[in-house]
Amino acid sequence: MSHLLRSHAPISEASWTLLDQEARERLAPALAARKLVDFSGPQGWAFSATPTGRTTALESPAEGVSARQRRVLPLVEARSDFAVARQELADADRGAPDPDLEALDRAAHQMAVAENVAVFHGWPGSITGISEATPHDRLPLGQAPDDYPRAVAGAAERLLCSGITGPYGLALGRGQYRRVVETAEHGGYPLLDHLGKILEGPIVWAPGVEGGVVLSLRGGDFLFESGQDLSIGYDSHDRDVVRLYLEQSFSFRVVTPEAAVLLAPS
Amino acid sequence: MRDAQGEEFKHFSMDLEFLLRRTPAWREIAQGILFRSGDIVEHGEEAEAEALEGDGSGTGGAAGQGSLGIGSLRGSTR
Repeated sequence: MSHLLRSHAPISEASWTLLDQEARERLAPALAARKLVDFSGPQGWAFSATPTGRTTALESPAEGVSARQRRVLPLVEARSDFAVARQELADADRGAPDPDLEALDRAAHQMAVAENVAVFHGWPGSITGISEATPHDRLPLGQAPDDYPRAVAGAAERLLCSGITGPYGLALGRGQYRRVVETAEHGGYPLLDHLGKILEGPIVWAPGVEGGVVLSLRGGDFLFESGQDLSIGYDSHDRDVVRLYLEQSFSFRVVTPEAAVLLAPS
Repeated sequence: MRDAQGEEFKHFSMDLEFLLRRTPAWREIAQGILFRSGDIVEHGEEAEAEALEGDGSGTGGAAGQGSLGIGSLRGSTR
């Protein structure tokens, strides 16, 4: 039996399909890291650590024997709880097209933000984020959106100087992304298209990111390993609500710290 | 002939891994069968029962493994 205990929930097959579909639709637009870094797995809930290939020397247990201990990167578990009114699910089973799943939507957004923050800015004590690992000085994005091309071009040039080839991707925080999308430069050329031409890669909306991050998409530089991919599990229920949760386990490591440049918000 | 046979086996393994990454329930069944000693048929039946029927749904559908199947989103900007 899966540890998610879904079959214990008082939820019909049709409502499980509805909940899973709603979660997918809410998560996919906000999961910026998965659009830019290498993803492997899922390896399953029982998968506990990513091998690093590194070892630590140990004291010898006996004469004539040398010893080393393997170093691994333990997976983190992320969980976001939410509750759904049983009446809403019953109405959905009757064919109601507009069930209130706001709590699920909020949990999905929180989970996506947590994943983005972990990958781009780190998770203290567990994950070193891209902005923590990069040796490059952060570049200011500038006050006005018109300044953004200069910053993005500067980041791309800095990556080239480090021998990091493109194409490059750009993760932008909420405010910065909105400014890019709503701005047309002198002459009416959309800023989004201009930045895309500099990068030769995607510009993604990344809630949770502060400022922006330009990174290489050539592969092999940033590794996200999924244990259990995002799933909905069952916690408990009473007469009125079913308490559920969104959960995943993953590790993340930066293999090439030079392959990203942080753009600081102004 | 021997070289061609090795190539086909490699392609079969690649196809299998591709499918298992996309379908967690199949992956769970495969983990109960592959690289284990003992009776292959018994392992298959047990793994299938655990993955699909043990959860009570009997279908392996929505109430089965539970993964949303999102995985990598490379190539998607929205």
